[in-house]
Amino acid sequence: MAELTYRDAVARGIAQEMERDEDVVFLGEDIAKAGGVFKATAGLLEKFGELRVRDTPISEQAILGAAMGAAMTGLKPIAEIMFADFIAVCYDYIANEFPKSRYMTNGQVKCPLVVRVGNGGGARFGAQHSQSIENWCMQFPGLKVVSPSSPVDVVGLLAAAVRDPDPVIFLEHKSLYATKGEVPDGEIVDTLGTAKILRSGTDCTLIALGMMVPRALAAAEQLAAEAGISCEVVDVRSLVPLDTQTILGSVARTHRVFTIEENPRDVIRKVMERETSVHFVIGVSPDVDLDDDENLQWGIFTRFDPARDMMFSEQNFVGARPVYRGVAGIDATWKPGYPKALEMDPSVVRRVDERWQEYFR
Amino acid sequence: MTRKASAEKVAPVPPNDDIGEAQRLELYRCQFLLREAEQRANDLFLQNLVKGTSHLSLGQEAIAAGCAAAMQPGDLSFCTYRGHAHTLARGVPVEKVLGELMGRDNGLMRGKGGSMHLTSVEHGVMGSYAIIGAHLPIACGAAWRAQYKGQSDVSVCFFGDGTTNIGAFHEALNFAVIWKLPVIFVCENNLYMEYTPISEVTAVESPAGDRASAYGLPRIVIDGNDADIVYRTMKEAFDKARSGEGPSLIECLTYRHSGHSRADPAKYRPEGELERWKLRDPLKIYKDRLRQFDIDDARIEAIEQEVRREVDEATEACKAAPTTSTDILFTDVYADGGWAWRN
Repeated sequence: MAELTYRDAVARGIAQEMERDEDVVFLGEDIAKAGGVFKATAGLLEKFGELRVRDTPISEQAILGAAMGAAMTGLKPIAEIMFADFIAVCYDYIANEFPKSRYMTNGQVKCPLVVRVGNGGGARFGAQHSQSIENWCMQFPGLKVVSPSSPVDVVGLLAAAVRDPDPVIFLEHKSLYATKGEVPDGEIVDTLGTAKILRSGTDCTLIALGMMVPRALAAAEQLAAEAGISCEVVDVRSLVPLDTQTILGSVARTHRVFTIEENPRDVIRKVMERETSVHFVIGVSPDVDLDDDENLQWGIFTRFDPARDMMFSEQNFVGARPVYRGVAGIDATWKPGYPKALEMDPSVVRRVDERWQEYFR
Repeated sequence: MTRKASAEKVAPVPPNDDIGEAQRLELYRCQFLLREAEQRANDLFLQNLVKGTSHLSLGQEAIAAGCAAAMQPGDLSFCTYRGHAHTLARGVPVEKVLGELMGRDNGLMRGKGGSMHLTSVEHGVMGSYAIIGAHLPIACGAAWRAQYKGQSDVSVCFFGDGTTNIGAFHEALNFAVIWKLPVIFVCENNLYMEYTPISEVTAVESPAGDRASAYGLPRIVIDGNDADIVYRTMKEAFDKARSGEGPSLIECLTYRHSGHSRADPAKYRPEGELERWKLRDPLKIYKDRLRQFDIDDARIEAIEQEVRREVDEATEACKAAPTTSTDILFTDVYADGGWAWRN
């Protein structure tokens, strides 16, 4: 067991897979000699040589296209697109090429590759280097989308992504690179499509992703201490495939859901709405005027989360737009195939609602 | 008749000719097959048996045939949405191609791809790509795999003149050169990007050839209607690629006898242009070539009869084949064979 940074976990995960399989190759801008602009890939060139760890020109289309051609013909490439925002200049591969190749060819073509990107805001890179692009990637059947929040998950999910036979977009949060966590020794292989309950609770579920996971955990601590509200925290980890069993199982127990994510189109909430008939009764519009301190709902959420300070106390706008979505499952009726409809106890609902109101008054 | 069978029947190679009679007969057979098969596709469209769009390369057959003849088994083809000819030239059965166009269960991809996405991995046809430029970097990737694994196959990427004005073209050229990849880029310059003359929208006269120097490559612009010239040029490019000397960019001048796609009657072409180019029809050029080499008309006629029979039989087989089953609608989205994105 060792304490690793999220950044070092990236290099460890890549190295683990490159040692295991000679078909794993790695390409991207400044990833080899420079060790990556986030220093997440330092040491890989020295370890695996320039045939397997290759610097590329600033040619995002060439990077993703080459990764695809290599994947189709027998390699297992890992490609880095430095900042997630740059996915926009090579979006053809995300939208039209990777995800459709297997389907259109009736299964003749395979595309086992991983695209690592530095996702998210909070590092003062400005509006064109801080976006959260989950929704850019999630809409294409055939593509998988993963977003780890801790070093151990970086190693395990990266290994799972490399071994997966489908194309995987691996969203690393660049504001988490310096964070630390315990990582066991030896090979670590996780499973795509599994969410994790990081904290058990009874009053409500906080569903979070990426950098919002540590924030959700902090919020849960604060709510427990200040208001006696018991929060369950679920780290989504994998958006496609999505572990609806774990997520909705938690909702079924707590009857209250808050989705906490950076993506401006709050993809997790959308999935929740699509997958369930949960009635969203508390909501903060993502289009709310963020300067509107009088906005009761916004005020509610910023009271226990430092994100708002992060955004406005800086002289430079950081570009990130954390969105806090509240939802209470007042009338939860479930679609077939999901945990059976909850027997809602009106007194429980009333009690929790009163506590919320009291706390946020 | 298969390519191999036709080659076995012919006389020994005459002296003083690098191509030889067997290869010449095969080049003619291939071009004739492409012509017949695509004309049949057009007929089937008029009979409402082929639906949706398709893009014919009538008039451009010498490029597909000449390139395919220079390729070895294991070499990979990356085609565009105008990919019928390149797919057939690699030996994919006509029935599989027409079946795909007709949405039949006997189609190459059982109807899931259609005209613009013909793919036959077993024949080295690694896909037909309908987004301009996308497959140039993909071909680079396949070539990178060959280089990395020490395999001798070469990737060949076909595209039109219009592709030379999209970013991916330039990214791929630079990438292939700096990594010295075994890839050959073949530009089929048929003078029109889609409906607009390429000369009106391009900074240089030869859209691919004049860009080559920017990537340290020689300018290669050839007569794309002469299959012998295409074949010889490709042979050199293959030799270069296989000896580790890196990529080539070849511009083949040709002409599209029909419009850009089904929807295009090609009325924008100046009067007389099509007729002038038809005098340089690749099939006409090649038939004359065979006669120059003293191959008599009876043998040519026999090849044509054989091809016609092949296309007729394929057509009937496709008409008799069931339409694609909706059972496969939700298959092969993911590698597990299904489409589920959540548990």
